[in-house]
Amino acid sequence: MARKKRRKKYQGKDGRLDLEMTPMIDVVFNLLIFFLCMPFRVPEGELDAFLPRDVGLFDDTVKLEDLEKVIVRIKDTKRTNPKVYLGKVPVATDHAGRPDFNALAEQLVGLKAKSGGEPPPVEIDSDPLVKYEFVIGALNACTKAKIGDIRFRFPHIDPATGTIKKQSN
Amino acid sequence: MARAKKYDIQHQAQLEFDITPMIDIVFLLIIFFMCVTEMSKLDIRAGIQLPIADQARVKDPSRENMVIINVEAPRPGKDVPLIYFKNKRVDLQTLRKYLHVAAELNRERGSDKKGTPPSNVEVIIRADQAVEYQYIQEVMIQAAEERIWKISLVAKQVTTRK
Repeated sequence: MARKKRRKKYQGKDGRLDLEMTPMIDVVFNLLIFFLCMPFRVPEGELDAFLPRDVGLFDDTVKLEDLEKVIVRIKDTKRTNPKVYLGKVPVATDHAGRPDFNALAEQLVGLKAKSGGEPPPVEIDSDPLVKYEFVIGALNACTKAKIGDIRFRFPHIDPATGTIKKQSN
Repeated sequence: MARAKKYDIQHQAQLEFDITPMIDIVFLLIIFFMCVTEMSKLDIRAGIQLPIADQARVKDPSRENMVIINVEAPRPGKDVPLIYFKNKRVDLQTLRKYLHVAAELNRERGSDKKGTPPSNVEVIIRADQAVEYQYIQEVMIQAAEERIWKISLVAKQVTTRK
């Protein structure tokens, strides 16, 4: 009796059984939106860096602190991968010829230990044509070495003319 | 006459308003608009391939005094990347104007040595990994000229295996 009633519910006008599509479409759309928006997004994080706070871009005086800082240079080699130097020492590369930023982090930890555990200020000086991912790699290595004071080297702006020229070391 | 009345009563009893599909559609719209509003609130542009950094830390995306600048990779056949401020495409001059307004609203008071005091705005740069550093540097210069000193660079949090 109950089965007969149920069958009647899903029977169309011509007596055939109908498949109800609406709930299925609804669920499919729900799943589609959910999987589009939520699950496979890799979480985004932030790396902190600081620009000159009190000196500004226009100050060209060299302070004692500036002489003691460690400079990470990223040089454009006109090839796929740039060369990275810690001071004047080149940083090792991996098998693909890419700079090994884990090695850079280890070198920075070594420098920190040499200076009695006090992290030296690090300045990242990159060629303008280097891809941004390598700058982030260097910044990531500095953060890994627990260096708190990381800065970026800027081109020097001449206050008189307003023109930009790169600072010389 | 009586027959017609009887038919009307029977017919009314059979009429049903099916609200299930309406509820389904309403839920779909709610989910859709929730996701879209969340993304537009964060000024996130979806097409950016972020660089990878295992040391990147998640911060509150809705904290105060922050502005997000998106830098998209150049379109095919073009050299210059696209810069977006509050999801609006801008050139460097316009970016400077927007940064100036944001910086002026949050200037430090009483810490001025000479000239303009620093600003407490935090600039968050979401740039594509393939963009040349010179363009990021340009954005940083615009911020530095407005005496903004807090900068955060956004990266994907993927841990590297040794």
